[in-house]
Formats: sequence, C-alpha cells, structure tokens
Amino acid sequence: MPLVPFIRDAAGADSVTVDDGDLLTGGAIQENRALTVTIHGGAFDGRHELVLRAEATTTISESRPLAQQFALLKAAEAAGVTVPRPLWHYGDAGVAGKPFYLMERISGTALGNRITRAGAQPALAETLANELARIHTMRPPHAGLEFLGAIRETPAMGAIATYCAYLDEMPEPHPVLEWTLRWLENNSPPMGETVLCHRDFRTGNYMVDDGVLTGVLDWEFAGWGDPHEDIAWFCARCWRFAGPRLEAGGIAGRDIFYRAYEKASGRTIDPKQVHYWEAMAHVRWAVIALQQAMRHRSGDEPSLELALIGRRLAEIEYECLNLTGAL
Amino acid sequence: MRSRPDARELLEISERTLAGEVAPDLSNRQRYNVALITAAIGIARQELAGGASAWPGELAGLQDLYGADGLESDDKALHRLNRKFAADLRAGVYDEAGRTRKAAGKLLREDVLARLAEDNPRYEK
Repeated sequence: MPLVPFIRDAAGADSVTVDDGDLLTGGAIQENRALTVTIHGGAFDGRHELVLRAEATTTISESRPLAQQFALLKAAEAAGVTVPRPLWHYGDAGVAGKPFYLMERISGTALGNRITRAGAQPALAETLANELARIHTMRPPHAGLEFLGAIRETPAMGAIATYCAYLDEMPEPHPVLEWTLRWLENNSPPMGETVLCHRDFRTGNYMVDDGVLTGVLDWEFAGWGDPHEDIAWFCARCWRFAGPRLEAGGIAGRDIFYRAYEKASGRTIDPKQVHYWEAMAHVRWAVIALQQAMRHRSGDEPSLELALIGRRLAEIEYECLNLTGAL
Repeated sequence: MRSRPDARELLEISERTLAGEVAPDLSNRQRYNVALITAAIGIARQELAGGASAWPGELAGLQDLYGADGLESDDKALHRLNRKFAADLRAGVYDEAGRTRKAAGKLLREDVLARLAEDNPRYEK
C-alpha cells in the first residue's frame, strides 16, 4: 500500500500530503527516513515531523522484527519512558516493499562523539539513570509484550550459548572471544531479578537537544534480562566515545549514574555483577561487529562503514582481556 | 625492483591529500565518508607488509602449544592452529592455572596488542 492512503486511513484524515525527506544517519541496521506529513481532518489534523523506520536490506540476527519494536516502543511510552511517540505500524510489504512504522521525530543529536565532546554532563547522566530505572519497572508477564517469551535459563548462560552459536557461523576462529566466553561461563551469576532490558541503552542511542534528553531510541534488542546488563552496557568502555575516562557513557562518573539509578529504582547495584556484564557487553559488541562486517564481506551490502566496523575487533578484544584479568 | 614511491607511500599521500585538502571543502556527510576512507587507507597501509598474522611470534607461539607440521604454508597453519586453540579454549582445556594457561594468555595478549597497534594506534588504553 502506498504511504499516503495508509496514513490517511490510520489517522482518520480527509487528506494527507507527504514530503519525503533525507535518509537519517545512524541507520547501520535499520533505515530511518525523515518525513514531513501534513494531515487535513481527524484527530491528527496539522503538520507533523515524523520518522519512517523500515527494515534494512539485511539485518543482524539479534534484531527484533519491526512489529515487535513498535510494541516495545508503545510499552515504553506507557511506562513513562521518554521516547519518540509511536504512531502507526504497517506490517505488510509497504514502502519500497518493506514493513515500516511511523513515529514522531524528536529534536537534537544522537551522535556519540558530539555528545561526549561536551565533557561531563552529570544532570544528563542522572536523567538517563532515571529513564533506565523506569524501563526496568516493566517485568514479566507484561500485556503487549507476550512475544518476548519466558526465560528458561539464567540470562547470562542464555547469552553465552547465543554468542557461541554466532561464533560457530563465522568463517574465522576467534580465540580471544572464546577465552572471554569461557571466563563468563566459569563466573556466571545465579538467576537474579528479571526486568525488561533495553539491551542497547547507551550513548549514541538517545537524543539530546541542548544538553537535555529528548528520547531513548533503538528498541530492537529489548528483552527480559538482569538489570545489571543494561547498566554495564551503558558504562562499557566501548560506548564512551570521546570521553573514555567518564565511565558512565562518556558523560559522567560511574558514581553519579549509579546513585541516581539506585535512588530511582530502589535497587542496590552490585559492582561485581556490573563488571561481569561489562565483559559480556564486549563479547556482544564483538559479535555484532563481526556480523556487521560480514554484511559487507558477503557482498550483500558493500559499505565502507560496515567494513571498518570489522576492524574495531582488536579494541573490543583488548577490553575483553582487560576485564577477564588477562592483560 | 619496483619503482618508488611504493604502495605504502602512495596510500600515505592519498590519505593525507584526502584529509588535508579534499575534506575541508565538503559537506558534513561527505566529510564523514572521507574520514571512513582515510581510516581504511590507514589500516591497509599498516598491514600491507604482512600476511595473515599481525605479529611475528604468532605461529611459533601456536606451534609451542600444538607442535609444527612442516608441509603447510604459514597462513594455512595459522588458520588451522587458531581454530584448534579457539575450540580448546571453549572446551576448558586452558582452565587450570599453570604453564599452558600462562602461554595461552600470552598468545592472546600479544595478538590483541599487535592488531590494536595496526587498527587503532591511538586507542586510549
């Protein structure tokens, strides 16, 4: 179905005009397109700056289908998380033959280097800690999120099995990642609390306008897990961009982020568990980097950006060795 | 013998021209592409000299653990031994503290440091 009649029906409007805008950056996995939509009649009458998110040509295996991303965004909005307001989802082959959904466009930048070059931003770190605590109020079972399934093993052992299976698909062996996975297996924590983990909550995946948070993005990896996993992902060295010494996302010291999260969530963060999940974070990022590079190498999607992600492996593996005490 | 400048030198000047003379006149998006291109050239320049291994001791280190097979090419041996090493790490062969665990740790460390020096020499450790 073409875009215009779809929006007209979904918005209950008399007529709709769409100005197709730029392909937005940051779409290594998904394609994001900026649209200006003018709606006449109905509840959405007026001019709207929107984002159309469609599935990319090839995706990485961890990424959730678009319909589930839309449901997660809806659930997050209902839980009071600051997100771009989700509007309508179209499940069939829509624009350019792909499913898509539309959400409101939020202002600001998500670029990790730009955000972290501004130096320490303790207020932003506290806001993000509060947002994460809000995400973690969602627990199973949760209406609308039935597709997330049940946890059958501890989240750590589940992740280890997943990453081992991914490595088995790679044409080259990766001894450093095997070493780290073995360490993770030998040190795996018992089952803890289960909450909704965003699983990509980090600098680069939230929008900031003039130092103020405007939205948490990229819900395609969310699932049930241990709250320490998200905290570790946010603090991991690989997501600090231009601020490697500011351990909370390159924008603040860890203590500031931890304190705000603990206050908002009522939980006590266990630093040993965060350390464990930071090692897991680097294995996960390594696997994603290998998959991204594979998209280029396979010839599916020739891209310098994807090719260069493959050469980030050494720095990720350096952190793996560091965290497992092998350096 | 080849004429000069050699491939490394040509890549180096290409990288410098792109970054210093082409990039400043471009839009943000094109400047981003130039940054990607110069990064790729930089990596290619570093590794032009060598084969599959990023450092000279890798094959010898693996052969210390697993023995040598004189008939294989070095690159083939590197692949085969690294595959065995990876499988053994997963199986827990190197779990126990001792000489072989130490040797395994040393191999991993040297390999990562050598690759990091090529791929991202400015990485803040």
